[in-house]
Amino acid sequence: MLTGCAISAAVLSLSLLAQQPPPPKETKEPTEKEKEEIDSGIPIASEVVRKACSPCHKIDEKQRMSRISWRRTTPEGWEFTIKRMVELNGLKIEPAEAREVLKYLANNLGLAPEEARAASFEAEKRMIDYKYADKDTNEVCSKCHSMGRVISQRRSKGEWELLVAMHRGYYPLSDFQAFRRGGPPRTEPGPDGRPPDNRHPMDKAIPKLAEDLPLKTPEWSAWSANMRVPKLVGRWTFTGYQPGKGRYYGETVIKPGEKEDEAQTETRYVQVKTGETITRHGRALVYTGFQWRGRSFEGSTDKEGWREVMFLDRNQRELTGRWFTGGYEETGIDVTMARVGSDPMVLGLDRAALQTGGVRTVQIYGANFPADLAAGAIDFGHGVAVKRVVSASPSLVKAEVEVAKDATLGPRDVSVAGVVREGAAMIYDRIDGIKVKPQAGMARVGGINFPKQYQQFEAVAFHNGADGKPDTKDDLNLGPVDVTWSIEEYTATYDDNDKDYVGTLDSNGLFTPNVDGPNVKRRGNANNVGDVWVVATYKTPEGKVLRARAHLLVTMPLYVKFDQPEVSQ
Amino acid sequence: MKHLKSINRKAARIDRQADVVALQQGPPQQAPAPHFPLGCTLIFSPGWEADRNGGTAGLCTPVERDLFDCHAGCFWPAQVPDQLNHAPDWTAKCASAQKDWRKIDLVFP
Amino acid sequence: MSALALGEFHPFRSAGRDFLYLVPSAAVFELDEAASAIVDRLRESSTGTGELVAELSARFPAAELQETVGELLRVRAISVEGVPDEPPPRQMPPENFPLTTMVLNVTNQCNLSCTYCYEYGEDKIVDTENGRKPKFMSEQTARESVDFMLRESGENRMAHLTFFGGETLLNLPVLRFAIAYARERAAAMGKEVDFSLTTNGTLLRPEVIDFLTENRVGVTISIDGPKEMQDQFRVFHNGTGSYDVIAPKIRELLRRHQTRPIGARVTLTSHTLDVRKIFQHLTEEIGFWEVGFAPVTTSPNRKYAIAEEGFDDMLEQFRSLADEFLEFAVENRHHGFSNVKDTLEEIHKGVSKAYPCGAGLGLMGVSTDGDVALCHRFAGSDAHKLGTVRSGIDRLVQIGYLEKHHIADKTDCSQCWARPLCSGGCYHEAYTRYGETAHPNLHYCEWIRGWTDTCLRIYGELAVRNPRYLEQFEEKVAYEASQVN
Repeated sequence: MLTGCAISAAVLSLSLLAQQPPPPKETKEPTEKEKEEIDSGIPIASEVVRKACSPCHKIDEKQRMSRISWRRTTPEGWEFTIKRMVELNGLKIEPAEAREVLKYLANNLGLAPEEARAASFEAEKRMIDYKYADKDTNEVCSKCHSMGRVISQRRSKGEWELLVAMHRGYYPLSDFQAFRRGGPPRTEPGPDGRPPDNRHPMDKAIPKLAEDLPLKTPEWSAWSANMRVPKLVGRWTFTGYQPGKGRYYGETVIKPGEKEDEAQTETRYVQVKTGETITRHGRALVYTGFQWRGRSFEGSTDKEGWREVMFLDRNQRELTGRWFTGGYEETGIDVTMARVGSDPMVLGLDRAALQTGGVRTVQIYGANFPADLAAGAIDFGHGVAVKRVVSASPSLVKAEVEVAKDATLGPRDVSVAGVVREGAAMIYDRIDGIKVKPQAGMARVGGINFPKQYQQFEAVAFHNGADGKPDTKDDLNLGPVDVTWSIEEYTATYDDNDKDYVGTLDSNGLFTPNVDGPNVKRRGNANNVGDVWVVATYKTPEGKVLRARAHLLVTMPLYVKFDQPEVSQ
Repeated sequence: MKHLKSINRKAARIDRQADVVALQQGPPQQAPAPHFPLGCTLIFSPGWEADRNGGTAGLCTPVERDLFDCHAGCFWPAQVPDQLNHAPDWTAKCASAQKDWRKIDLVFP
Repeated sequence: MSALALGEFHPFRSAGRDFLYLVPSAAVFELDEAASAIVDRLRESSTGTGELVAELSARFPAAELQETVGELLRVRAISVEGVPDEPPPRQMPPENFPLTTMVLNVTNQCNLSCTYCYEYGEDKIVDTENGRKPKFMSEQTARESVDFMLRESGENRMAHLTFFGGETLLNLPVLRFAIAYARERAAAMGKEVDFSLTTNGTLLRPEVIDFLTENRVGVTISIDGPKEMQDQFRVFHNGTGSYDVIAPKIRELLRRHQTRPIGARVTLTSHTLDVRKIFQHLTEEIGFWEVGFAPVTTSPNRKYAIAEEGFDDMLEQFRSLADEFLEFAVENRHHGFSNVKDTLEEIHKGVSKAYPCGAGLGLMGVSTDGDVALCHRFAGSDAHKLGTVRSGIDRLVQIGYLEKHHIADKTDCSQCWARPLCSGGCYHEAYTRYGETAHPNLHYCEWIRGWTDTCLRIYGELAVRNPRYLEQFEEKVAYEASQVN
C-alpha cells in the first residue's frame, strides 16, 4: 500500500498538470435534447422539502428544484444524500423533518418495482456476485463501491455528469484510480479507418448510464400514476430460511401503525430444527407503495433488533425479502410472507427430502388446514403413500408417509386439502455428494475496535440425478446435512499458518473470526487475516465418507460504514 | 495448420484435435478467483478485502501500518475514512497506528 | 470485437527459430514469421484483431494474419480478452490406478554412513536405529510384497521391482529369493517383472556381479565423483572414505555386467558442485553409461545444503554439460548426461503432470516390515503409510493423499510456466524442507525454470537439426523406473 500510495500520488499530480483548463463558459440556447431533459424534471410539491433544501437548491418556475428534480432513487439512496448534505454541506435539519423529507423524496422521486428489483440486493445487504453488463461502467464504479449503489439510481444525463464531478471533487484520487485512462492516448486509426476511441472510462460510462438508467422511464410513469398506500393489515403466513438454523414457519399479524403507511407487527415462528418458538414485535414503513423497511425486536432486552427489507408484490399478496442483523448485516433470514385468506395454504415441510423405503412422520406447515383432515386429502404423488394423519391443527399437520423402495426420484409437489405447494419434497435413494455453501465465504476480523463479520457455512447433500454425474443440472438438492467441520490451510503464502490465526469454526459451521489488530505471535506482527479452506466431512449411513470444501477469506474490517439504518425509523 | 508447426507429440495431438483433454485444460490453470461483491474493490492491486487472486496473501498486512496512507491520500474512500472531507481528524488520537490502533473509530458518514 | 491477449506459455528460441511451450497443455509449436510477429505484438499490449492485422499488414498479407490468429487461438497460445476460460477440470487419476513400480526396502541397514543420507543421516524421518521396524526384510515379507505388487499391477503386463535400502546387497539372500519368487509368480500370471537395484558398490563381489548379470538386474551406483568428492560424505562408520574400496569393484561390474546399462547417481552438495568434473570422471575414467545428478535433500541449515547461489552455479554447469549433450545428439552419438535425456523425453511426450511423480499412484515404497508408503523415501514412516502388503492399499487414505497433492491446489505453482513438468517437485524434499509433503519446493523454482528452459532449447535445436534423434522417445514405455533416487 505504501508504494501504491506513493506511485498514485505522483501520477495524480502529473495528471493534474496535464489536465486541460476548462473551456470558457459560453451562454447559448439549450438544444432540443437539453430542453427535453430539463422538461423531464419532477416538480417538488412538498413544503417541507422546499424549505429544507431551498437554501442551496434553486426552485424554478415549474416548481422543480435544482439537481433534486432530475434524480430518482431508493429510500437508502436519498438517506445517503441527506446525510452527506448534513455532513459536508452544512445542512441543519431536525430528525423528524429529515424523515419527512426522506419519505417525500422516496415516494415521489423513487423507483418503480421493476427498477428496484434488480438493485434489491443492495438494500437487503446480500453478498451476491453482481456484474453490470457494460464493462467500462462496471470498472469505473466498482473500483470503489458496489454497483448496487449505482443501479438503484435514475438520473438525467446532466445529473450523471454532475455525480461524476461530485466524486472527482470529494475524492480526487478516484480520477486516477477509476475515471481517467492511464497511459498515452492511442494514435493509430482503428481497422475501420476511424480514429481510436481515446475517451476516458468515465466519458464512456456517463452516456451508458444516461441511456441505461435514465430519469424518465415508462416503468416509473406507470407506477407513479398508480402508486398507493398498500393495505397490509391482517394475517400473513411467515416462511423463513436462515443458513445454519434452517427453516422457520409461522405467522405475522400486521396492525395499523401511527400513520397510514406505517405498520405494527407481531411475528411468531417456529424453528423447525429445534422446535423453539420465537416472537418478535416490530414496526415498519412502506415507501413508494412497495418497499417495506422495518425493524423488529425479540423481547424487551433486544435493543438492536433485526432490520427488515421486503418487497411487496403488485397484488399486495406477498412480501419477500431479508431480515438481518450483525456488524456487517451478515446474519439474516430469507423471508416470504403471504396474506392469509380463507383457503388453506401449504408453506412447506419440516425437511427438504425423503429417502425411499420406510415409514416416517413428516410435518406439513401451512394455514387454514381443516380440522377433520383425512389421509386421503394429502398427496405426495406416486410411490409415496400417506398412511395416516397423526395430528392436524390449522397450521400444522403431522402425517405418516411411506416412500416406496422404487419411488421415482426427484422433486414432488405436495397437496393438502386441494392446495398444492410445488416442489415441496424431494425423493432420493442415496446421498452421492455434499457441497459447502457458500463456495466463497468472507469474514472480517473484529471484536476490539470494529465488529466481527461472521460467516455461516452449510453443507448440502446432493444426489447425482438421472445422469449419475455430479455437478450437472439434474442433480437433486437434498438440503442441509449435519457434518464435521474443520479448517485447512489454503497455501497461498509459505508458512503463514493462516489456519492457526484466522478464527474458529464451530460444530454448526459458524465461523467466528479472530480479533482485529496486530498479533505479536505472527511473523511481522501481522494481523489475523488470512485465507483458508473450510472442510465438511460427512459419513453416509452406508459408511461412505464424503468431503467438500469452500474457500474462506478472513479479511480487514471496514473503517467506514456507509449505511442507512434510519430509513426504517 | 500453416503457421504453427507441431513439434512434440502433444502438439501433434492438439493439431489433430484428437486430444480433447489438452484443449479442455486450456490456459490459466489458476482457479477463477472468488468474487466478493458489495463494496469490494478487487481491481486495485491489491484490493481492500482480497488481492488479485482472491486471497489475502497479497494484501498489505498488517493493515494498521497503512491506515494513515489510505486516510491521508483518500485511497480507499469507501473503506477508510477520507481526511479530505469526511473525517479530517480520524487519526488525531493515534500517533502510531501500530501502537494506538485501538483509538481509531468507525466512521458513519 | 474483443481484444486479443496472450495465453499462457513460455517462448524460446532455438536454431534461429521461435517456439512456444504452451501451458498447461505442454505442447511445443514452432512459429513462422507471421505467428512470431503476432505474439511479439501482443506481448506489448492486448489489441483487437482488426488493429493487429492493420498494424502488421505492411509485413504480411491480411488473410495470412487472420489465418494465423485463428491458429494461435485454436492452440490457445492467445485468447480473447475478457472471455474467461473454463476452469480446467481437476482431473483425478482413475480409482485403483495400477501399480507400475514397487520399491522394496530390503534393509534399512548400511555399511556406509553418509552424512546427508535421508535414510540414516541428520534429516532422516524414520528412526532406523531405535525404531520398531526390523532391520532386514524377511523372506516372508518379500514374498507378500511380490504378491502385492503383482496383484496391484492390474492389467499391466510389466511390473518393475526395484530394490532399495539401506545397502541392498546387505540382504542378498532375500534379494535373491524375491527375484526368483517374482519370476515364478509372474510367469504363472502371464506377466513380466523388470528388476533393478541401487547400491553403494562396496559389496560388489564377483559372484554378486554374475548374479546381477544373469538376472538382468539394472544397477545404479550411488557415487559422488572422484576420490576427493566421494570421500567427503560417503564414508564408512569409522569415517574413512569409500572411494578406494568401490572404484575397482565398479570397474569390475562395468566390465562383466553387459546385459543392462549401468548408471551412476550423484548427490550434489555445496561441497561437491563440480558437475563437469564429476561427469567426466564417472564416464571417461570409470566408464559409466549414464550419470544422473540430484541436489542433496536436506533442511536448509545443514552446511552441505546448496544455497541459492549454489543453484545458480549448478545451473551454469548443467547448461554447459547439456550443450555438450546437444552436440553429441546432433551427431547421433551417445552422451551419458541422463538428466537432459529424461527431461527431453518428457517434453517430447508433452507430459503435463497433475503430480510431480508417481509416488502413491503408480509407484510405492515398501518398508522392511511390509508397510506400504508413498515412495521408498517415506517407507517406514507411519505418517505417510498407505497400507500394508498384506492388507493392501487403503484407498481412502490414497484418495485423500491424491486430492491433497494435486497441482490444481498448489497456488504457488498456478502462475508458473514450468508446472507441467515440475508440478511442485519432490514430496520428500518438501517434507524435509517445509515439514509438509504438499508444499511446493519454492527454494528451487528458479533452478527448475532455468533448467526446463535449457532443455526446451535443446529440444528445439534437435527438432530442427536432428529430428530423428527424438524418435527414440516414441517407443519407450511410459515410465522407466530403473533409476530411483
